[in-house]
Amino acid sequence: MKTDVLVVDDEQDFTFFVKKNLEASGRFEVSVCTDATKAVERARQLRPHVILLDIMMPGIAGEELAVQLQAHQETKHVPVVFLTALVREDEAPTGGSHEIGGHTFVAKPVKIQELMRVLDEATSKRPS
Amino acid sequence: MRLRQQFSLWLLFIAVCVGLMSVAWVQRAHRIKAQFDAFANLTTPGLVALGQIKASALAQLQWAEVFASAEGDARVRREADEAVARERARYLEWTGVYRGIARAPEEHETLDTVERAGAALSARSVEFMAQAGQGQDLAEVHEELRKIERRFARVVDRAIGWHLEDAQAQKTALTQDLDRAARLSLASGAILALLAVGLGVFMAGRIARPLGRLADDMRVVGQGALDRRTAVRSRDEIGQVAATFNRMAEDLQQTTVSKHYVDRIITSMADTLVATDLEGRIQTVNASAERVLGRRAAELVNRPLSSLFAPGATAPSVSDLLTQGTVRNLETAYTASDGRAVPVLFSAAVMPDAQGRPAGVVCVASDITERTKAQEALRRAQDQLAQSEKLAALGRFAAGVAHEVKNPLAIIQGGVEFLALKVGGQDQDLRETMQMIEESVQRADTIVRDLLKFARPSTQKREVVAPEELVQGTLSLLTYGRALKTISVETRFAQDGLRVAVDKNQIQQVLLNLMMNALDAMGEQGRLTVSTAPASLPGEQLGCAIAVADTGSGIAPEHRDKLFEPFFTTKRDKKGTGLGLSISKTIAESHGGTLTLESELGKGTVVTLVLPLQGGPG
Repeated sequence: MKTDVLVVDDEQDFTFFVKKNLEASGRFEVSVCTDATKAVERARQLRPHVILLDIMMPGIAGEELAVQLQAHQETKHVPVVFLTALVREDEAPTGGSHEIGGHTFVAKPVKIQELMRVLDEATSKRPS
Repeated sequence: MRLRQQFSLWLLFIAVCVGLMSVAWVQRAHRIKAQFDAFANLTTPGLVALGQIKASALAQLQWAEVFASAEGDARVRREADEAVARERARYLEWTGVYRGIARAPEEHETLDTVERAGAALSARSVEFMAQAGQGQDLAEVHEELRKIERRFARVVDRAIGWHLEDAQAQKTALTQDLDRAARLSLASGAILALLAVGLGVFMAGRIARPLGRLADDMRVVGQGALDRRTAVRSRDEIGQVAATFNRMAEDLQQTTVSKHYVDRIITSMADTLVATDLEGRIQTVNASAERVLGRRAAELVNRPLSSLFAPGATAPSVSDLLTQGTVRNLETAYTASDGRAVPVLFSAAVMPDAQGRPAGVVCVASDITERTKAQEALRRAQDQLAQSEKLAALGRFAAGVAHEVKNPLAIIQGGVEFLALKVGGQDQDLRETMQMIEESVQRADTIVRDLLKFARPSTQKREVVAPEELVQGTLSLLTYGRALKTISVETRFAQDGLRVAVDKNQIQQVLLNLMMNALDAMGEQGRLTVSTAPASLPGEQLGCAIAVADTGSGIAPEHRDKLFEPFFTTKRDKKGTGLGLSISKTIAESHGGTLTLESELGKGTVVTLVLPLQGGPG
């Protein structure tokens, strides 16, 4: 079974390549939402296995979306992987990832292999 | 009353006394002289006359006897007769004289008695003579004559005796008068003597005693008891002298008191005070000046004012001060005896003499060492604040840049990977191109990441550690992370138990950066020396220095100034972002420390990180 991924990012070109590259592996089914304000609605409809959420978006911040997702029964248990263009003080190596407060952070630009590894890891922790 | 007037009155009084006494003496002398004259006039002629009377009467009688005895000798009888007649005439003459001078009734009585006796004598003599011629018994005649003679002599002797008594009485009265005169003289002399003594006592009382007291009081004031006043009070010249003295003592006290007061003010002044003469030679120095300059006043007096100023400090010349009049709040520096420059706020003004002509210059200077230190600290704090603000702004800017750069980088990365999926694999050129694009993405990403690190100093988690621990930890990272190859490593640690409070990760990041730079500078061969030592930081703060020294190529002088500028790099092989030393310096400064570099081309470079010791400020 393929992993359903919802990518929320206002960078349309970035979502295009993420969707193409992930789906090329044949293991991921990717939905894209470029409007952050509609992200929660889309997630509740789609109920993906994992949500890839950009932190800096116009209108609403990724962290806040995550909080809103937690508030809904449908999306409450969906793991979230944050995408960030900024580097945290503790420094993730480029394209790498780290965890803060139970959430996984991935720094842009990220290599597709690394992204797939993080998504796999996030979904494997998903309560079945 | 004035002393002169008092003296004059006394002398006048004494003169009057002397005059009155002289008049009394003269009168008394006149009276005595009159008495004496009376005595001489009355007594002496009487006695002379009586003598003559007695003598002539007796001679008459004797000549009568001679006549009687010369019987038959006519010549002798004639001579005797003539002598009797002569003596009779003498007798009559002197009785006449006596009558002429006799005044007292007793005298007349005496004269009468004498005349009677004389007459009887004369009569008997004549009678006798007549009888003798007739040849009568002479013996009887003689006997009778003897009786008459004796009676006459008794009368005359009585008269003489009376005169002598009178003379005795006169003499007694005269003697008494003379005694009285002598007593009067003695008394007046004694009065004069008493007056003279009184004058002496007066002199002593009015002049000598107050003068003595005044002299005593003057001596006491002269010895410094300025509150002493003389109690001499009178309206004469001494009183005026005493009053003048009291006024002068008052003035002296006021002057001295105000001088002491001014002296105390000068001594107590917190600021330094130096007064010079017209030539600029120091004349007066107060206690603060002695303290600040570290010299005794005796060492400073007569030295030129310019000698007070530290070398290189602004030193106003006395001639300039005299023309300008005043200098206010000039920031300059004095030089202390230990050679230290003492920053001072200097003011000076021309000091006039009593006639208003310039006599010298008075200089007041405040020691502003503390203020200067505080200003430096404030400036450092302001610099740090400005730096922080600059960094905060830069941080926001960098974050924006990072966001805007990283998103395209992410798209490029995704795009390259998509292309690889579509066309990659077969075409070698395409594969290499995509490889280059990916590497460029990584490089751009590294630069942005370093930029963020430089621009956003993160929160520090400080802990107290030994500098050696920091060095050893970093060296172990180096050993694990990269082969030291043939580079030898040497450590020298100060055995002082120094401790610094730092964010261990950040400082190790700095040390790692410095060591990596050192290794890069040395290449295959060389020695890396890391040492710790006590050091000092600006603001007299104690610190610990960690020096990283290499034996590498050194840094060209023209590069040294730019080393700490962001994005400056000499690592042309794309290894460096040019942010390492900038970030290291930022971290060092955010710890209150410094990062400095010394380098010599061909010999090597020493980079020294100085961190404040634990417990110090910052």
